[in-house]
Amino acid sequence: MTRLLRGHPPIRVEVDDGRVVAIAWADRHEPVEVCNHWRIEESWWRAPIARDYFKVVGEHWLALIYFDRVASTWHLERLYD
Amino acid sequence: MVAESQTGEPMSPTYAELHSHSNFSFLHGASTVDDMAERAAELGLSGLAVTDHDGLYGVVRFATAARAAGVRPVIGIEIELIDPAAPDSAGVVVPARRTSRGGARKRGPALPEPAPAEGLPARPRAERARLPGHRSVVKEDLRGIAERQRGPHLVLLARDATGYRSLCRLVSRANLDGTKRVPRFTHALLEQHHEGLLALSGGREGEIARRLLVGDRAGARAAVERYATLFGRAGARAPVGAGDAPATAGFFIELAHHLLPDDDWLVAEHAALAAELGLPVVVTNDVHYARPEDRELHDVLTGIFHGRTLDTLGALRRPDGESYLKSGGEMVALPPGDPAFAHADPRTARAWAEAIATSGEVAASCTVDLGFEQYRFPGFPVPGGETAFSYLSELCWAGARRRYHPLTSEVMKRLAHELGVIERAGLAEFFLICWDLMRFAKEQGIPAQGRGSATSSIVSYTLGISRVEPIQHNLLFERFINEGRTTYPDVDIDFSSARREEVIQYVYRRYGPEHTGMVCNLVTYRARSAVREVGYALGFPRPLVDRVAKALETYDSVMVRRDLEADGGFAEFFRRPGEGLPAEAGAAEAAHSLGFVDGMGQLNTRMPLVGKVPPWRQPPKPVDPAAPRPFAWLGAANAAGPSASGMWEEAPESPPAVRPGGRADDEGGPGDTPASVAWLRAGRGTGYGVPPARPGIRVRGEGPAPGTVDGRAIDPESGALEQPPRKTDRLGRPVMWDPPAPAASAMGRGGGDPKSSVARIEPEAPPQARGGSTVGMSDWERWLEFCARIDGFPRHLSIHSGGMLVTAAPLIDIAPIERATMQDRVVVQFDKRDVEELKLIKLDLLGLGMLAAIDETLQLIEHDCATCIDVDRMPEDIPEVFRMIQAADTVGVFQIESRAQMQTLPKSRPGSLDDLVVEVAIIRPGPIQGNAVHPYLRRRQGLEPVTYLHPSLEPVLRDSKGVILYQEQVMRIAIDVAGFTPAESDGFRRAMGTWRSTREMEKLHQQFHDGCMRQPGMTEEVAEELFRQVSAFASFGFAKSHAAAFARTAYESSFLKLFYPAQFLVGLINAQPMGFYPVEVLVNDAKRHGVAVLPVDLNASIYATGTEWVGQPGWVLAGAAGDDGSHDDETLHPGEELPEGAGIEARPRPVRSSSCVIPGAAARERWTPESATGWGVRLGLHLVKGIGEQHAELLDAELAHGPYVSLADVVERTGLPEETIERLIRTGALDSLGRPRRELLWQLREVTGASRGSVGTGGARRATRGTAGPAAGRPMDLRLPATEAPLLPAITEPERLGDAYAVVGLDARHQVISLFRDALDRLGAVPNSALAERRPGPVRIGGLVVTRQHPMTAKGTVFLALEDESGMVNVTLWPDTWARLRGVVRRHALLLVDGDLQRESSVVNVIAHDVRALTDVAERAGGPEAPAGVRQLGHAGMRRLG
Repeated sequence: MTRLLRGHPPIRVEVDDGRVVAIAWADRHEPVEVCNHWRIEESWWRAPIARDYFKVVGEHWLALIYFDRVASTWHLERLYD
Repeated sequence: MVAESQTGEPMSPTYAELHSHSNFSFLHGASTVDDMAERAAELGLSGLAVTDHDGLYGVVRFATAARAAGVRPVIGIEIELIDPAAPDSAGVVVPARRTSRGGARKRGPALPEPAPAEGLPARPRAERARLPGHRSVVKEDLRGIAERQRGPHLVLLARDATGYRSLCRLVSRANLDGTKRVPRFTHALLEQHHEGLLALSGGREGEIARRLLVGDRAGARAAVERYATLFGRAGARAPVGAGDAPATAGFFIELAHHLLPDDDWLVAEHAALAAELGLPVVVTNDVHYARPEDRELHDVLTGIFHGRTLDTLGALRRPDGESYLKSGGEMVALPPGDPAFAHADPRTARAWAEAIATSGEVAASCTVDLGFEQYRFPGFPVPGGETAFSYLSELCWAGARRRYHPLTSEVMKRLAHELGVIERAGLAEFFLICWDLMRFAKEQGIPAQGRGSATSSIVSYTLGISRVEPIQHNLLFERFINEGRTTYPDVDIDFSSARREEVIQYVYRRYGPEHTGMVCNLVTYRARSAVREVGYALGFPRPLVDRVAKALETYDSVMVRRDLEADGGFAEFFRRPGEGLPAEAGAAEAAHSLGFVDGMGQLNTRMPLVGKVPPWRQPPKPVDPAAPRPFAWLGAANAAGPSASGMWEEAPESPPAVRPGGRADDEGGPGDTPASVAWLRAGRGTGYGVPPARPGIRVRGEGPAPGTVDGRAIDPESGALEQPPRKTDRLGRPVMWDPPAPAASAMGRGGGDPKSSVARIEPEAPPQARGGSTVGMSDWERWLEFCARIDGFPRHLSIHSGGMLVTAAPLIDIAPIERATMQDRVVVQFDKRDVEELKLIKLDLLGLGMLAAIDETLQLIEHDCATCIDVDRMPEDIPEVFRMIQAADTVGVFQIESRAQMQTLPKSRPGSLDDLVVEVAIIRPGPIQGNAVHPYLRRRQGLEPVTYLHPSLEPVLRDSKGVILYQEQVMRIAIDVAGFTPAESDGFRRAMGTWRSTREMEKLHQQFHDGCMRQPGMTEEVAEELFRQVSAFASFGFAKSHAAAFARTAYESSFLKLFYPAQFLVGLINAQPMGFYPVEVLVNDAKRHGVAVLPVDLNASIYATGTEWVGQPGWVLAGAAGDDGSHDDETLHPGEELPEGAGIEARPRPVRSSSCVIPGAAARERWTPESATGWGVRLGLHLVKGIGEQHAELLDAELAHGPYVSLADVVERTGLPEETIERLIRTGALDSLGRPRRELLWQLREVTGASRGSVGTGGARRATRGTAGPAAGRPMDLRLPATEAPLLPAITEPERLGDAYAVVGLDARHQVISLFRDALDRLGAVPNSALAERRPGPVRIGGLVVTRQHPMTAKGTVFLALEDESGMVNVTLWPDTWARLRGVVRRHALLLVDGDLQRESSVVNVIAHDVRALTDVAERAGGPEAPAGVRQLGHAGMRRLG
């Protein structure tokens, strides 16, 4: 069961030496580990999308987050329950 | 293994990219080899391997570019195998996919054929459709098929010369086994040709990765084992990367990381497998473009390849933009090199680091030298006891004794000198090969002549290669060949275009097919192809793309912008916001109210691609109910008042007609569809430009790296729209920037001024690709940008018009070959330039239409007049011929028929063959740009004295009256005046032409200047001026030897045109396409010269055009006319009667007017037999569209059987399709059946309908026309008379004329303008023939545009040749006139021109002020309404003019 987050809310991410170490969202801060990551660059001919995706796992959360390389913002896209 | 420098300090790894694609991967690579090499040097790569798909097309260029850039070139390819290395029962490696449209076929183990059901015959297997003449399908349709659905990849690199040979053989064999552009690489083939090759596992699409990705580790291991066994393992070695493995290993596992989801895992798996099996690993990046931003072009190319738009490409595109050329540092920075990764998986991290270093070592171990000089001569068999040189000199001396009487010491001295040079340069065989070709041509009666620099040598003359005597014509041997020359001498031999193939076949036979190949011609993207394909890929609707492509004048894709900006119909799309029209206001409404077209060209009501965010790209349901509707923000912005630029305020309510051509322009022209016109109309005012700067746009530099902490909130900058309305994509993801921040993405070229990529290029800026990301450009801007970037990209191969490569070593060891479209013809994957670079020998065997025309003319003369003319022995000083040339009566004559030539001939008045050589050479860009033409003409006419800059120039420039006309003169000036050696002078000439480098030019300039100053009486100013003149001449001039060869042919064709106009016309028509004018002009010109031209008639015409006896004119029979046409009318014989439909009212008498020369009886008596005047021309059936060479034999044979008597007879005997017979009826070819045309058309359907089934009779002939179906039982089959046609009105003259023009593009009886003559008289227009007598001043003329020219040298001036029934006149449109009238002139072929008549020494010119469409004007003037065929002339004219 996953939750797709429509708004892709901005989240706080802690990065240590290039590695995502913790995420914070909805008053919750959780240390995480990255289990997969990839990059997409899309639709440059329309409105460019360039994101670095990270699948992170913590004690409570398995989440898909991404770094928006255009706006330089972090967002939460999906939460796996 | 990290390399250590000599000081012992660890160096950063020297990375070399071993797997990359250039644009020679045909739509799979987005950068040129030069870009790749340049970028590799910038990044500090130690080596670069360009491994294009399945071919070695770019290797020569790449090797040159890489050496120039200082990067070690590695030659390689990436092949697509059709079979797996290890058993692949699951179809993992070679996936099953549809092999042709409409059905999937299972791969893998063949399934047994289903047994036929009892009692039923086995179902026949459907054959694939094949084009006639092809042994198999031309090209597999790979559109829509992703790489992963195709065969597995394998990268092969040549370690040394042996490896290169293996590559050539492998590619050649695979191509010969396959079909055109579909080579068949198999493991069996690899096993035969792997010597000297290194193999890399092929990355993600390699067999090993494919197996690993589906979990087939055992299969992967088996495949690796097989490859390693084939290509060789390193010696005993334990850990990965240790020892000197790369130097000996033949197979490498490729590690690549493109930041894809499972790349970490895949790299680890690969590394583990390599470690297990003790194989070395290399890192590659499977590069498809040089720089990150080229990714956009790569996507467009992928769209073009698959025939899809960017939006519909989906997974066929690469998901990210990581396939660019990366530096060693960037490779280290990828995740496997990351410290975090090393922590988690130290083994893989170590392998990655070592593999990066190994890549550099592998590149360093590959040494291929593409120098094949030692293989260049195929060996020429000479008689026993002779060497090539002794045989050559024997032939030359024998030839000299034959040609020179007496053999002067000058000749002997020169021949001895040339032979000496040839011996020292080792070129004897080269001359023998050329001599042998000419000998063959002569034996076979194939017209041939040597041309180009070859003609300047006495060796060529004595061997019969050239026909121009070099001493008499003062031709310089050093131009052709000298001892300092580094490039190969070029010899071009022209053969009759009709028989060139025989010579090619001879070369194949003589030197063997394994030593002979045709050089390829790389067809590259030009303006139209670029506009079309890029336009489709970007999603522009087809009608619009067609319309834009048709509006182009240029062939240069870089110039597309200039062309479209100049065109009234498109200018506004490139207007800067605020510069012209209101922008988006009202666009949506306007667009919705009009019928628009979708991507398939179908009309619909959807809004096409306008503005930044087309409506169909908007989400179907906005998240927020209050979110704006498409374009609503425009309305809001409008309502909110003027924006920052204030542009909307000034906008008038309705768009003003800004188009210079006026409203009539967007009515569209012929070729426009209603959809494209609607587009244009609606397009105006939609403002395709970048939307005006809106509040809320954020301009950023390159975003910070992912490692930065925390996301910054979207910074809402001040402005009316504090929070831009959120836009969401289909998946509901927020798009936080709106509109896109220009150049903000990391895809951009490293930041820079973000505004620069948005700003529209200034009109005066030189058009060129701007580079960088196209993000932020409007759709139109982007379209043009990609057109400019794709310019010159190779698109496909074709056979070069005549380059033959002849080699000593077997060709497939030196150059890869592949199948050509033509059956059994192979073509080398190298083009002309590459072959020169490789210093291989190339013979240019060109087809020249004029030689075919002259040949046919001579044969006809022999047949018709029983006279055999030997053109080689034709006197060079026939005065009548020069009189004709001086009168510029040269339509159809070789080289001097063009508009520009006809304008200069009356001024230069050539009176000898040497003058004609000047004439041929002078109308060239070189003399025109060097301002040599007018001084020469004035001096020639005695209007100014002949002067020389310096007395030392007099011997050099005496022939050309003090101006520089030939390349030889440049060299002679360098030798005689500036003191260069002959070898230096040739280098000087070429450097002048190419401007290779400023430093080199400076050096030569200094040398030239110093040399000149040594001449007595030379001043600084004169030396500088001389240098200026010489450099302005550059390389655009002809070599004199070249001009001399052409002048000779021009002279011969003039003779034939003058004395045998009918035969010459036939020769010209049958040799089409050739020359400057369409057939119609040639026919009309011949008619004006008294040649009866008979229309196409099925009962009289054979397939080809031919001559027909029409009877002699009176003045020949009376024998009374003088050469000037004077004769006593009373004694004039009436002449033989002209046949019906002869096309001329009466035969003109001999005249020598300013525009028409017809020789009289006295001249004819000297040069022709009497009968020559009695022949007319019968147009052939080949002129009718739909009748091609395949019908020739049948039609000629049927005519020989007897005349056709009825329509049914025609249908039955010719077997032509209904539409072709309809064309025959409409053109009058069936008038001889004696029935009115409308009746024949009435009956046609009935007759063809009947005989398509079965024809009752026909005997043996029927069998050749395929099997007959069951009898249809229609009236024809039962031999019943055809249904009576109702009383139909007879065809009118305008209808007849229209039909004739529509079907054959000309009418034998009347020129189309005669139809409008009454109207033209009413309008006060004068016929062209009257212009010569008219006072200069305002004039109105009407005519058909037969040619339209935009000479590069004329700076925007356009010239039209306008023909009416009485003659042709040159119309000049100055650039401003052209800009104003462009729309009309481009869209109509029948024009009414108002202008000023100018006359200068009998050269008539009309300077146009206004041009209108004649059909419209005539209609308003009460003239005839043009019939459909004539109306379409506009279209036909456009097509004809390209």
